[in-house]
Amino acid sequence: MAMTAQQRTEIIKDVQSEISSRRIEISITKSDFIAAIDAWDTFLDDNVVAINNALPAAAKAGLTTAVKNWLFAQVASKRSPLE
Amino acid sequence: MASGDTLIIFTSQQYQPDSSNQGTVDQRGTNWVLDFDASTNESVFFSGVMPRHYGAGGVTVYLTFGASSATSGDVDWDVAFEDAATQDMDSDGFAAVNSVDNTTVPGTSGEKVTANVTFTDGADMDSVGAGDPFRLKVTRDAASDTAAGDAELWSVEIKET
Repeated sequence: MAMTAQQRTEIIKDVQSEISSRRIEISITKSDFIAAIDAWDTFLDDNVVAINNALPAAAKAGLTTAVKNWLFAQVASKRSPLE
Repeated sequence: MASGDTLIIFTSQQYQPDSSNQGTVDQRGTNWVLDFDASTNESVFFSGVMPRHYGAGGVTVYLTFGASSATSGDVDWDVAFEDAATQDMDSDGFAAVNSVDNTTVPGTSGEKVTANVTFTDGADMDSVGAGDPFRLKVTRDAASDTAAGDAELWSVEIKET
């Protein structure tokens, strides 16, 4: 299920705070950045079945949705870690 | 003194936080700055006494700032005066804000840019006169601007226009 407007607002605030504290250079505007967050959310919503099907049977059946999402985020963040 | 002369300078260390949604102290390199959020409008105050050499004309407020992470987009600032001479400290009495919008952030992170806001003498600056205690309120209008991440306020200069 896509994030609620409140959840999007929270993640936009959290992410902008994070990039500021880490001094991560962002060469796009705030609205473009927000659009990117929205686009990822939409992509995940549109591809939730394919992402779930990518898991081995044991993980697919045995992990909760929250743990699957956490695991997905862990793998994505470690593939190209921020400095 | 005459038009064009600096009246007072505030550095980031001299700020006073708003009661909520305030700018916060941060260190950029070895520089003290005040961080203003990109999602929530945040404010700080600077208090001072208008120098006796103020010639009762309009003033220009210069805001020098950088960006924590953005290398494109712009920052909007709102600035307002409060004549503190007779103001009850239990409440705020700022005049209407004057704004400087769409100041493009530097293309290199860590560099600074200066925006300026003009005020006419009289009600526009809450009738602050020579020798009057006053406060200046500085707000990032994050709801309207486009730069991602924090704005880092470095200094404020008030000059007689």
